[in-house]
Amino acid sequence: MKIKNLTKINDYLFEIPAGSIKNMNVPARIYGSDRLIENMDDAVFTQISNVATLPGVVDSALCMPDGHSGYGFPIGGVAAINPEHGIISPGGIGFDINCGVWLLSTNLTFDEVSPKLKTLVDLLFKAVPSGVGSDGILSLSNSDFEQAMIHGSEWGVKNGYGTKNDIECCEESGKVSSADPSFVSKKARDRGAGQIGSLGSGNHYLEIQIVKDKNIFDKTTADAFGITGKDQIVIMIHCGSRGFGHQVATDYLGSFAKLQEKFGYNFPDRELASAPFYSTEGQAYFNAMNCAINIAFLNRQLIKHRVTEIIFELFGSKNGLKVETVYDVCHNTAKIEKHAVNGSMKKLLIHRKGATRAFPPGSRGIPAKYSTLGQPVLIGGSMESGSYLLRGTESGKDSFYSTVHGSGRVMSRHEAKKQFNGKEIQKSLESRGIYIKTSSYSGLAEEAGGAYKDVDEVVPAAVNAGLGSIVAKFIPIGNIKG
Amino acid sequence: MIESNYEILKNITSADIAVRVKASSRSLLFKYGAEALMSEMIEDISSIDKSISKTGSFEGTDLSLLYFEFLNEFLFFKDAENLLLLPHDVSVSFSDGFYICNFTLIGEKINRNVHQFRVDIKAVTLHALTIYEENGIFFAESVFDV
Repeated sequence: MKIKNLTKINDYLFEIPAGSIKNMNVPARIYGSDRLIENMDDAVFTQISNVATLPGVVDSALCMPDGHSGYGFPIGGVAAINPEHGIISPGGIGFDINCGVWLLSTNLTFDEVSPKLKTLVDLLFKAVPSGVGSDGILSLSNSDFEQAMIHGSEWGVKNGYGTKNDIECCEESGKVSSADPSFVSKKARDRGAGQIGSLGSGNHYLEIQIVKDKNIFDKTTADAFGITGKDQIVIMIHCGSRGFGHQVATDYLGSFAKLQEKFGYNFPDRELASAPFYSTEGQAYFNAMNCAINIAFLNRQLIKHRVTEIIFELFGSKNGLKVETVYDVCHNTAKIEKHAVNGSMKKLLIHRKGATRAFPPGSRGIPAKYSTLGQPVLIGGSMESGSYLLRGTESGKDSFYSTVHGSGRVMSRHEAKKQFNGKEIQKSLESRGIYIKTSSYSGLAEEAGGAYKDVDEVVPAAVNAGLGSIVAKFIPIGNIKG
Repeated sequence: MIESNYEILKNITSADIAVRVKASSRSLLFKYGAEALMSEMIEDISSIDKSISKTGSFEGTDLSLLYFEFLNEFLFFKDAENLLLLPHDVSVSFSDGFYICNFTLIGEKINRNVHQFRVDIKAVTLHALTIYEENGIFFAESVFDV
């Protein structure tokens, strides 16, 4: 193994013991196969060890099998913090607060969509703003924006941008509490108000996918989630809180960095700058961060609504056309949850940065109609490889019911730009039946499939580690890249 | 050539962009840092016209936090006002334990027919952020979140 202190606990779990670096009070545990661990960049091991030094970390600092180096926490990092004496850290959530994935099912088939695929992608590309600095579908007044910060998706549905089923099928029902706009700066409001309902850039996308019968692995659950196979068309939306969330994180990271001496903190990475959760500063950030969580819910809600309109515009002649939300997951959050620790239930602040909540059957907080099955978990792969639908399982309790969020990068952005050409990728994928529209060919090169780990290796590793169970796999046929 | 004032650092991050900027003064270091940030977002920053200006200042005891705040200002204007700005006049001074950064930024509204974008940068992070001086040359290393 590349890291001296890394020991293998079982085939899919590795550990860096407590004490390996100064103030590392709990172990760092990394999930993955031998090959995934071997290929992780060294910074992942350093960053997850750093997380294990944070005050209040319970049990261990965790990294999911799609882990790769980020800033502060690695991408794929999870930390359960005892809020009574622990911290909240913007670097444990990320700048794109509540980045997440929304899955829509349809009753359209590949044969029905295929002749109009290019038109569909072109229309979606025009209808859903994407790329650097793009304006959103809506520009909200100050008072509407405040209500949106508090009510998230609920605001969207109340104002005609969605259905009650959308709310029922969102993580947290599309709205977290303790979201107080008075803790949000004017800069964050100015930066975010005009961008709601936009994809953004980087690894964000809107993808048209196909469900083949052979890619349904758990038919009972798939049926209940509305995934029927037979070349069914589904749509995946991946984006977050846009400039609003970025500014909330920037504001509080900057202010926490100036307070580390006051709090008696000296972490190995300044990006881990934190505040005690129940301090005035910690609660201010928690409330502002929750506003950004709600804005991200609304962002995906509006995009979902616009996508639905376009599908009805193009395929409305189909009798009984259906476009329905399967689920919406978050993968950049800190949320108060109850988990069993040493046999008793404890209230914990779960930081997940590039990690998805995966609650098991019977959990509070998942839609009633999915209650006996477990929470749907949406795993976006690269634009070439496909994506997965999982369900949460009881075997995920050691990860505080967390799992992977994607395939995870294996190549830096600059290396990807050297190796791949955006226009060539677009052409090559079109010859393979995947039609792509992008705002940036340079950005497209950075997101090449070869820049990512193999999702078909990452997801089985997560499942073998007990972090969920595979329901279905989706294959891309059309993609809008921000 | 603007790119000669910064280089990409490998092995710091795979998801984001790490850069090292060098300059003969603190003021130029801030200027080149901002140009590096904008160059990673836009194919050709010389395509940005100079029709709008913004002025401002930051102060503090920590030079690297000042750099963090200054660079993040460009991202704020990009999203809040759809402005692509470049540093025009940047002055970083030190007095009585305080650094003061006064700046004028110039640029124009985003025009997708003119400006070709690479990727959106969400934030300048504090990860691995460091400013140091070696033999009279100033260096800044920072990671941009993509």
